Amino acid sequence: MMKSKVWSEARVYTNINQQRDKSYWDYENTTIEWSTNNKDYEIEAKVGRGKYSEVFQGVELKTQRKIVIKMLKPVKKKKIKREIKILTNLSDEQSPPTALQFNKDEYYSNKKEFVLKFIRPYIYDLPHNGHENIVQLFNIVKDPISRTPALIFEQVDNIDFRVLYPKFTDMDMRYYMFELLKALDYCHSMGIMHRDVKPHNVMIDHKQRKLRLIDWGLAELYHANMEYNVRVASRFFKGPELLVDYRMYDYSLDLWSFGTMLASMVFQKEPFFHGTSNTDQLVKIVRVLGSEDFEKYLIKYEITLPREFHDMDQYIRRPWHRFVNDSNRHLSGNDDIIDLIDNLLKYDHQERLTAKEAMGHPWFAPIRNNEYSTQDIEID
Amino acid sequence: MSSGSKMDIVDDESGSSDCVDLWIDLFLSRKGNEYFCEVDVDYITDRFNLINLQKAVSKFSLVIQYIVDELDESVLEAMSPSKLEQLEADARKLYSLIHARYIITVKGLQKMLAKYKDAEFGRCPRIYCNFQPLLPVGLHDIPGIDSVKLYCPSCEDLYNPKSPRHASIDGAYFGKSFPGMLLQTFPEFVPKHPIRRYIPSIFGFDLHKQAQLSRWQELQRLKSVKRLETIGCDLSGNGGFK
Repeated sequence: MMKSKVWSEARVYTNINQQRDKSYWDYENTTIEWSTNNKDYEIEAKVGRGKYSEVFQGVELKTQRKIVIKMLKPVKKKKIKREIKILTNLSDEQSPPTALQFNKDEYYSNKKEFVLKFIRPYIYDLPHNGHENIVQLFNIVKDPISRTPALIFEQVDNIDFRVLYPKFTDMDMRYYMFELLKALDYCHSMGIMHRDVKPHNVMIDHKQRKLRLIDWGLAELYHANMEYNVRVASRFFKGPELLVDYRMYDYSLDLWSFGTMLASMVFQKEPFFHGTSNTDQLVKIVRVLGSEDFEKYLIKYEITLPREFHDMDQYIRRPWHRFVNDSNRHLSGNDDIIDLIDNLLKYDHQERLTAKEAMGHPWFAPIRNNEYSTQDIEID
Repeated sequence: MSSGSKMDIVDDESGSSDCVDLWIDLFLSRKGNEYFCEVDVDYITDRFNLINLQKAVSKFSLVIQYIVDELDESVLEAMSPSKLEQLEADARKLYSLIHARYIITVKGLQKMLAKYKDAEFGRCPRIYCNFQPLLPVGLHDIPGIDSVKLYCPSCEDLYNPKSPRHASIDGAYFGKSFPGMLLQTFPEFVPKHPIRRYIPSIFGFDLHKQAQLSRWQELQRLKSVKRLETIGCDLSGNGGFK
């Protein structure tokens, strides 16, 4: 059991899974229909590996199109089922909720007074194509001999973010971060939290101005008042809730990770919070956001800090403008971006902007007004 | 170096017997000489067969006599141990060089065929060659350049002998022409070409580059078979077509 007694519910899409059929979210009881014909695909090159998988670039022989093969290492069946269920839920949706007419009253489904106060005056209230920004699952294959499960995905011509991001103009950043928010808004609207948002999981084909959110291996279906495992996300992108062991978190975790990504892009500091351990990760956050707000947050949720934090020093909040320097000023030197980052990197997950609110933030105004032209930029 | 000269072995046999082992038999029974066959004495003593070998060793005639055991005991007894050692080494070298010529003669080929049938040169390590017997071959006809290799008539490739004893034998003692000559003489012993190819795979997924090449090769093979059939070639035989 979690040490905190204070319950929390998502501000938006609170009961989305309850409105769906049990088969949508009850992944433990689904039977996966594996294709056994892995002669349809062939491997070209190894492109990556993770804790849970080996990833290859390959070809689909029938069509000669490039694909990605993700071979899953032996893990619990439940985890495999979860990833596949989530990917099929996201791929199979015939009418994506975020592509429909926006209904504000439905959107802010959590009617509790103490969360309603966090509603921002701005929101993106138009339908969008965020569902296109989720990596597409083509097939699931199991080799009849080795019985290794493999997922077949669409391929994106990605460039390593450490090479690509430094080349981005201010407008490129606004464009791609807006695309990422669309993807997040879509998966949240489908009752799914990604829980591992980081640059490595955001594939960008800069020639085609195409963004895909990948790796749904840690994603989970959201149910209000459910307690989740805090051992998710990658260290630099872990929200405070994970580090203080507050388990009743929700979609807003993804907005923290998004915020750290955005801050690292505009301040050109990679990663933005560079912790050397999970404990140190929280220290790095408190050193920026300050001890005062941290304590308010702990009191609000009645969180008792784990022992290893007991001798943590007191830090005064570091104002965001102090991260602005001559080399990043062209990206960070405007009040809008500072305000956006400030509204994302909040200790209290309920206080963070939702994806739709972030999309409505003034910093994205040029994107919303279609001022981003793909012809302006030279690509090398 | 030459630990077991003829003299030592004769001494070992306590000298009681009149029946002294022939030099050639001793040579062939030495460990590591399994690849060699017995060269007829008639062949060795026919000077016609030895043209251009005279300069391979010093005291050519003496060495020949020694090989065919026609050297008088008294001559050997008068020799110093170091001279005897030199004679033994020369004899091995000269016999081996004559061997290279002999094994491409009709009689030599017959003898080597028998050894090939018994797989005395080993079998191909390639899986899809199905334990195909190998043939020894030199990459040079001049001694002192490279060691003997093993040729597989199935995959038509070369291999290093497994045992270091065999791997240190001079390739010139078998020569460049031997396997070709043997297979031309006995075409019925040319195996059918193996068609299967290995394609590496990872958890059931073939590697594209290798699989693609394999498909292309198979396509070319089928095309070639079709073409040969239309011009009336008989492909039922071994070793391709004539």
